[in-house]
Amino acid sequence: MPFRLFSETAKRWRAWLLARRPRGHPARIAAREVYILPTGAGVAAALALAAMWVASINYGLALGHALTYFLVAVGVVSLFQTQRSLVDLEIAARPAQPVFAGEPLVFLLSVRELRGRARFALRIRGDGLPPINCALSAWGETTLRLSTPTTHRGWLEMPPLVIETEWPFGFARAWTYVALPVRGLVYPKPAENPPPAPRLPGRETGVARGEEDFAGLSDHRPGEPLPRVAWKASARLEEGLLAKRFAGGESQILWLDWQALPSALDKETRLAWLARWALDAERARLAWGLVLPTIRLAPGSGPEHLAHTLSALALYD
Amino acid sequence: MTAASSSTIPFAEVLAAAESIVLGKAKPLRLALACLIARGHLLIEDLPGMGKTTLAHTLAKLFGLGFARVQFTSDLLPADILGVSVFDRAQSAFVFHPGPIFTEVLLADEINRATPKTQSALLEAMEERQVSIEGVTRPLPDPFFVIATQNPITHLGTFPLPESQLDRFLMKIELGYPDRAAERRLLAGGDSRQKLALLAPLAEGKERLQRAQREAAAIHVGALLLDYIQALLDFTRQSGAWQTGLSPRAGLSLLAAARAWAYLDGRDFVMPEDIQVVLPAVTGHRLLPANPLERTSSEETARRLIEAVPVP
Amino acid sequence: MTETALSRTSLGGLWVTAALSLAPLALAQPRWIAFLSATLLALYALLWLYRLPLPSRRLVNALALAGSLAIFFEYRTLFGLRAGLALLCLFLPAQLFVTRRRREGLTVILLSWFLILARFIDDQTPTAAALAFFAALVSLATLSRCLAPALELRAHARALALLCAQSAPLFLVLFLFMPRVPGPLWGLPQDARKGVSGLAEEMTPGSLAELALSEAVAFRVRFAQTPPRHALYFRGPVLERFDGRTWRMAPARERPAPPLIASSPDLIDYEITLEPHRQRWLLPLDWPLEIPPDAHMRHDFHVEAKQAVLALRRDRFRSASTPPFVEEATEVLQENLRLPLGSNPRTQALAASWRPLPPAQRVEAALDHFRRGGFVYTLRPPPLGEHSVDEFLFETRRGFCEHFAAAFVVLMRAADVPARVVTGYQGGSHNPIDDTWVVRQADAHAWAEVWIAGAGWRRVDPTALAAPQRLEADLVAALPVGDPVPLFARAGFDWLRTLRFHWWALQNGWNQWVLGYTADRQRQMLARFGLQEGDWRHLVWFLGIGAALALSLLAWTASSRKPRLDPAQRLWRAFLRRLARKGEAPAPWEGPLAFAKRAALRWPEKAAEIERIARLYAGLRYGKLGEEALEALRRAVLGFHP
Repeated sequence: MPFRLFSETAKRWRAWLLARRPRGHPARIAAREVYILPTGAGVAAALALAAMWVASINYGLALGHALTYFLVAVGVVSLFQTQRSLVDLEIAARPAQPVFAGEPLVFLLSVRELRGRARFALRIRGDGLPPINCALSAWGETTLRLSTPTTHRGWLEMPPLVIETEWPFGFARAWTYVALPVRGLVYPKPAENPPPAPRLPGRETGVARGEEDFAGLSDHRPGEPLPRVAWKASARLEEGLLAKRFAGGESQILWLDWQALPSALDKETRLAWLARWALDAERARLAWGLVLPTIRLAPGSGPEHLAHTLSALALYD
Repeated sequence: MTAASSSTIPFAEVLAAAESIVLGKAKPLRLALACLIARGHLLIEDLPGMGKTTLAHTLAKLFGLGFARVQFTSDLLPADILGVSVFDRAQSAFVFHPGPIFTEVLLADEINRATPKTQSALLEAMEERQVSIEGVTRPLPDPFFVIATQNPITHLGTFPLPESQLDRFLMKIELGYPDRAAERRLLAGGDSRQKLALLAPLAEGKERLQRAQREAAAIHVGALLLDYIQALLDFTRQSGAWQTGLSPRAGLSLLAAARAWAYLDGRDFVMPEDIQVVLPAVTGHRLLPANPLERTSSEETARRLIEAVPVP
Repeated sequence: MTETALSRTSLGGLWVTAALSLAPLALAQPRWIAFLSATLLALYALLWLYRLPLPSRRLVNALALAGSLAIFFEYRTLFGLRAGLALLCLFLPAQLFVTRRRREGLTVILLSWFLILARFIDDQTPTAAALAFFAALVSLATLSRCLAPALELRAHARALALLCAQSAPLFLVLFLFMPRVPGPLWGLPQDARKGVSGLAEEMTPGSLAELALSEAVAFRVRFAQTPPRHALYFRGPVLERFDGRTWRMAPARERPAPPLIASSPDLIDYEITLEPHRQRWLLPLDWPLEIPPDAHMRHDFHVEAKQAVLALRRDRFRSASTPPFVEEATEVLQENLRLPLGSNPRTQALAASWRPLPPAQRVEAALDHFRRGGFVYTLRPPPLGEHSVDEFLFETRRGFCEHFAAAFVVLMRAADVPARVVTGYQGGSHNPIDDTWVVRQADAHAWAEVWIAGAGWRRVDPTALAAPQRLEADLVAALPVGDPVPLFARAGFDWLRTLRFHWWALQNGWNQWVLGYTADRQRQMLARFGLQEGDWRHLVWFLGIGAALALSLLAWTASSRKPRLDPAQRLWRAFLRRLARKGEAPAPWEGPLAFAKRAALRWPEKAAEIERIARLYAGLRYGKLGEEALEALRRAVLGFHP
């Protein structure tokens, strides 16, 4: 493509175009936001048609003129169709699950057709990502998965989208930029092999949650050790099981403490260790609390608590 | 119904009267009134001494509604609120002694101090507008308006209301500190309790309130506005900024609140501004930031949401 | 763009496109090229059907090179038109074998377009046009198929049909108004003339008989007053040189004096639409008087254009029904007496016996010979040997018009009467539907002219003596039973005849309006629209402005269909524009009242006005205010000047 040559200019140009886009959500593509340029194929076809025109003149072919003009007319009108293929599409996005740095973060894109015209051969790509092909029926809707590589923790803004098409003949490429104010959370990448979590001086870290004082009953969660099941109480239920809950002493809680880490460690390594420990603690069904210089997270356990912990680590600065 | 250009604003005098007692709280007052008209319940979250009780009491008094106040504590039992059946020897039967909930305006003070069990008993009754005890269903009076107050969750010794319960409040508002002028008047003026006692109830207050409730529910909401509400809901569900998006019930609440607000404005249709004004109060307690450590106020959350969706 | 490999269905589509565009053209190529093309296509089809791997690129290239060499040996060049077409016929199927991605697929499509176009050089009939249009449609559908292979064929067809309907107006504008540049732009390669049947510059026994089976139209005539059928002699090349077997044209000579036209000739005005035959001659009715400006008349009344007739050509002529009197130079008369020595001795002997007679009686004597000799008019004359005229006159006595004409001229020359062979067309079919005469190759004819001193050239048609019906009816009537008859000439039922007439009328209309739409015709039509100075530069301006208008209209409809602003919104936008000029604009999320409040702070003296506008707009847009409010809003906005 010719404009690849001017990639720097193109980048600046695109940034300018992107800045002009209202950051609405969902975004509906308007006609004036769609840009169009001929492709190499379009230029080749135009040259071929010019040659056919000259041949028609030279050999005095009335039908040659007719054929050439027919193809020219169809080609020119197809450019409008190319442009209109993108107009009145609505794009919305939301992030799927948070991921650890290094794993791809998936954004779910939903594309809707708002004009009552079927759209074909659309291509959607995030900046620097492989394109996704899709087509839409009239008034149709489709959901696409935009997979974005992640490198570091924190918020990941969804990259600006390029929506393009060459329909119907590939003679021209119409495209538009869509930037949606959508972001996904990237947890820090857990350290591979950190030392075991330090036990705070003078305290014992329990193997499991505290088991001293019976504190009540609650729904049994799949995976909980069988001895915890309150069989008698469960028998009274119509379905499901109850589990005994114990109030543990302070000593059973693993404190993931920023300050307790070796002072030589840099910030990211600390966060990586803490993330790994939190994951291990959850796997071992331990309760843990988190202490960062700015934040203190009350002890707890379970997937929700893990998510809170990892979010705190992801967004710490 | 009044036309858009008309200057007659319903309940202007109510608001004026209330403002003379709850000083410097025009907007919370108006929101509370809108909440009442929208037949929703109100949660006020603030520190003690900000005038929560006064506000509730003022509203009840103005409309001539029955008023009850329950101070929630950790030892409060559901029966203490709903009522209890006691065996009456004279009639040799169980006689139901209705609890404080059988009133028109109920102030549930510091609701987050009660145990979850008690909380949910109240919230269930709020939602269903009736009380079922021992198999007998007893309807609550109409209008029925609960103003619950709670201390900000950061304080110890509380049972924060779970998210699903919070959804039952139409609005959550904060009163905040009064501005300097209002504070000065507060200091200079007499005791608000005395003024409250002197407050003259509105003539036919209850009837006017009920009529307002009916009329507000019938206010015109164009398709454009429904689109707008949907776009707002969609954004909360898709942007990833919040743990969960707004529920369909939240959408209905937004609509009802916006209608009530438009009614108070003396308009017979809803505008985007109505939605934007009530948005912080309606969505503040329903949207939890994806990052649990992020402390954003309802206003900030709402502004983020508003600025993401163009008006129709 | 084109990195993606083409799907199997796309490749199938490319094959169909190639086959459709190749078939009509390849059949007109030398047999071995047609065979090679067909073989390559069939081979590719087999590979495709059985999902076999394609041969390596190198192999295909080698094959293409070998084919090019073969074509070079066939044509002794690679750059002529014929050689070029042969190359295309080879390259297109070869390209299929190296097509794996979209870029190569596009090459197939573009080559196909060229092939479709190339077919028109030889064939511009409605049938060819229909086939070409179909092939072009298939090529377009294949292009989109390459882009969206998953889409079903029917959806492609629907999208394409819509597109064609949308582009029809633009096509018409281009076809009608795009300035036609009169060609050719450069000298035509010599070999462009091959492959068209028709008269030739020379005649051998049997050469016209080949034409007699051809239904191809030579030209169409529209008369002001139709002369009798037997007078319809359309004059083609005049053959004066004879080498014993072949008759040839003599070089053009200067005429000593202009021909004298009889005092009161019957004048015939007519218009001939001539099919391109790639030769220079025109075919006026005997005897031409007025000819087109770009043509000239030879000494033998043969009319030639300045350039070969490559496109359909329409000319007006005026002819006289009686021959003009001319002075003929001695060399011409000598030329028309010359016979090769020792050829046809029996004929020469017979003619020599007539020499004592006066010239007119010698002619009669020869005609008598034909009349009484038991001659048979046939399309299947037996082959003739060295002394062809002897054999025909005295042995076989079966022949076609060129046999009769040639034999007669030899007889005359041997009898010392200057004579020559004239080729051309005689008769034709009258189509009552559109009142034109269609003259086909089957109507090709040869007759004789003799020089009678004092009277000039006289036409003598010896064929008429053997088969008088040839002049009055048509070929079929003249042929003996059992001879092959051209398909269209067969005596059919009446309905078939009617159908035939309609078909001819259609072809004529096609010729007049499609093929005959040349630069001249375009100028005439534009003149009718008032564009008197139909200069092509004016046309370019006209076309440019028209195209710009049409495109902007299209663009406008495309874009304006999007934001369907209601009237209130339009007024509100106008209001906003006025404020925007002073630097105040609402944010996208700002409602009208909120913005009005902000604007009111900026223009406190206009606060009431601004708020009123905002309230009216809000009531119209979100509420249920009616026409009156709209009118009020209009007045308020128009009267607002910040």
